[in-house]
Amino acid sequence: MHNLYKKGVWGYPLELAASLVLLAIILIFYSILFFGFDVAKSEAPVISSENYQDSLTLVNLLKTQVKIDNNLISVADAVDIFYTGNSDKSKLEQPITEILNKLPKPKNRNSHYMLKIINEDISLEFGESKLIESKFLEQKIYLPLSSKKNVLVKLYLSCSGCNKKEIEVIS
Amino acid sequence: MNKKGIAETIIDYTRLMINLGLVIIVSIFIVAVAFKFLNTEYRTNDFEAKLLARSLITADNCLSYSNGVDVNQGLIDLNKFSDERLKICFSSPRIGYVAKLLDLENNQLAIASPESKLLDFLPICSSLPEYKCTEKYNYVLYYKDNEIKPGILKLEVISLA
Repeated sequence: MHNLYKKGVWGYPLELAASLVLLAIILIFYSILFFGFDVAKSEAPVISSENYQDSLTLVNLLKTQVKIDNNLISVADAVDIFYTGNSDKSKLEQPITEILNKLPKPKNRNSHYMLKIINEDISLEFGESKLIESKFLEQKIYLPLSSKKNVLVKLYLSCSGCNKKEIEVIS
Repeated sequence: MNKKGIAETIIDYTRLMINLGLVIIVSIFIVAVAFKFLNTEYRTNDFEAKLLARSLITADNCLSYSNGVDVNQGLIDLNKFSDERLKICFSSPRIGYVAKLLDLENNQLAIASPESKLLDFLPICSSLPEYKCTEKYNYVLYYKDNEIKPGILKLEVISLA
């Protein structure tokens, strides 16, 4: 061991002093970072409900009854009638947009819901579609039609500037 | 062993002690940081409120409508909207909650809450650090006048932090 330090009488003490100063600087820096500024525990980590989504809102939306041609039918049935060719989009537009506007939204934010019904032939969109949008609360289900085909139904909240806390309230 | 040999041995041991000391200091620092991480608290009150809301909306013994055979999840039975029913459904000394059913025009149709001492602190919850408060709004359906209508289930939850 002592062979390493045969640099003269002052070799080891100088090296040790330099190492100690460096160590002290590193320890002080990280102590301030971890304990002074409380980086390790700045805020309790949140297990957010927004990360655990189900399709309850979308299912309820599809089960909501709407009046089309003086008949009270569910949105799911109205979509089925559309795809069997017995209806047009304009009849669906008004009642579905009305429901989308009434769904819970973050307060004081410019936000709106989008409903997309995707089929290999014809796809439908309800709500205001924007080129740049931040999607929240995305939900999707496959809706079986009487023609034995399925359509993919997607619902999401488009909101610019929404934060996680605001979304948690309606998730 | 001559004098030079003894002196070198003493120097070697001194260096060993100094190095060992440095290793111990660094180890203590690493353990202290790790300990701080391990003791970090997780805020779960929002997630608990969501689970509570889902139970209320989907479970037969809570507010969900049932015809005796099938449970219609997401469809609220107004007859079940009572304090007693919510007490059977979910009650805990750590959590107090108020469930309100609103129509889409924000008119209150029903209100219920299981008895809890925590509810006394609900109006001033935000100023009490030992309690956490959460609000949840869920789109639901309900039966009224033989018709299925859309509404909002508003849940106000207070829990111990």
